[in-house]
Amino acid sequence: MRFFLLFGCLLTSVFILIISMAGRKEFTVPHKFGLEVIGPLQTAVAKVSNYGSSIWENYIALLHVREENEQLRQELQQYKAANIEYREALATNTRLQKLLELKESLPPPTLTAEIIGKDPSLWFRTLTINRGSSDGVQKGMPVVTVEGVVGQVLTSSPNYSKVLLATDPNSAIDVITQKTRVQGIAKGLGRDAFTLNYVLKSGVVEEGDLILTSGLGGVFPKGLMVGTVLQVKKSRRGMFQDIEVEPAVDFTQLEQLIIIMKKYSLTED
Amino acid sequence: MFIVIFLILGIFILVLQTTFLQFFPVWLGKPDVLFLLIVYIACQENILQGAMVVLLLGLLMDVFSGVFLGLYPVIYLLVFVFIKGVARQVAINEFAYQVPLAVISYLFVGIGMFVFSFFMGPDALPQWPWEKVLLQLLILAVIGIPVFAIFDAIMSFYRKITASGRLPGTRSSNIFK
Repeated sequence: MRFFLLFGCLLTSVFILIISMAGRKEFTVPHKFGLEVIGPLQTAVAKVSNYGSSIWENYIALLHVREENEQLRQELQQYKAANIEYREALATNTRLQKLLELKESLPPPTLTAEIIGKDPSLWFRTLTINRGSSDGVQKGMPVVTVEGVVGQVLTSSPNYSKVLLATDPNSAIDVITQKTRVQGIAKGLGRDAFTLNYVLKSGVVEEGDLILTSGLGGVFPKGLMVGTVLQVKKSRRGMFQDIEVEPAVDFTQLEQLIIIMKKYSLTED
Repeated sequence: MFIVIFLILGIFILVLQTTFLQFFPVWLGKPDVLFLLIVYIACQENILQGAMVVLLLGLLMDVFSGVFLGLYPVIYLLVFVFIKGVARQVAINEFAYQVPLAVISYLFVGIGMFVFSFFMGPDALPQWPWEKVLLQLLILAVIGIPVFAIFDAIMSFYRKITASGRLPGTRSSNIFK
């Protein structure tokens, strides 16, 4: 009975409160109090919720990004590989085109060859190529590339040959300067350089002059590029100038070569 | 069989040296592993068989390197004799002794090449490549011990096979053994 009385009083006071506030837009004190109490709690919960939500969204997004990233990486690798292949094909095409042009400009017949091995010693400069006597390769045949003279065939087996590079100390090529037509012998120095021997002091040779084969040695055809004059020294003693020549060919980058075939080799013993 | 093993090993090294190792950049140098094999044979094996292998490897080297045929067999045999001579005075079975011996021998090889070239063609004398020679000596000193260890492992494996008379992992034909 007492409970019902208490409950009735409470209900009545709430009812009076509601009636008294109805139609007002501004908060009353209880409203404000409620808001002030619940507000911080709400803020804290909202922050935590937002944080959790953002973490979850980021995580989900990250999963997608990771997959996408992986996919993009794979695609990038594929494109890179394709790009390298295209570049290599283009470079090979350009190189072979130049080689073909050179081959057509050389006295026929000519034969292309690939390098299969290089001299491992510090003292000699030779190459092994994949053409031999069964292809018609003989001792003394000139070997050239697009840039210029490489060397000459030293010896051959049925399927392979050994080429003496022009930069070997045992190599000597009869040459002339392009501008002044001064004659000399280009000898290898055992490194990537020649020395131009037997050029008289009266001969006009300047730095930067182009050196070409003279065709007089009987081994190389006339007009092949040998190198560029790097240094000219005229010592007091002696009849000849000291001339250093930079090779036209980069001997570290050799790949395909052309052998100029002859009916009879001119350097037979 | 011993000769064949070393010959196969020598050919393998020679092929590597003339192809794969040639792609190494200049500053890194190109290790002369075949020369280490020659030194190893001279240090470890008996005179007759060792000299035979060294001679064959020298002949092979002539095919792929140099201009004058016969140069490498002579130089390698001289190295072989030199090392055998040193071996009679000093115990050089340890790798630690073999490495300096290899370095000194390589210097002799260089001098030998130079002198030989001088006699064969004074006008074709190569310039002494100090930088390359010093780099090669350094490389030989660095790779000497591991390379000798590999050669030793190969020879131990070979001796194990020949001692047991069968390949490891295979069953003997005599089941009552």
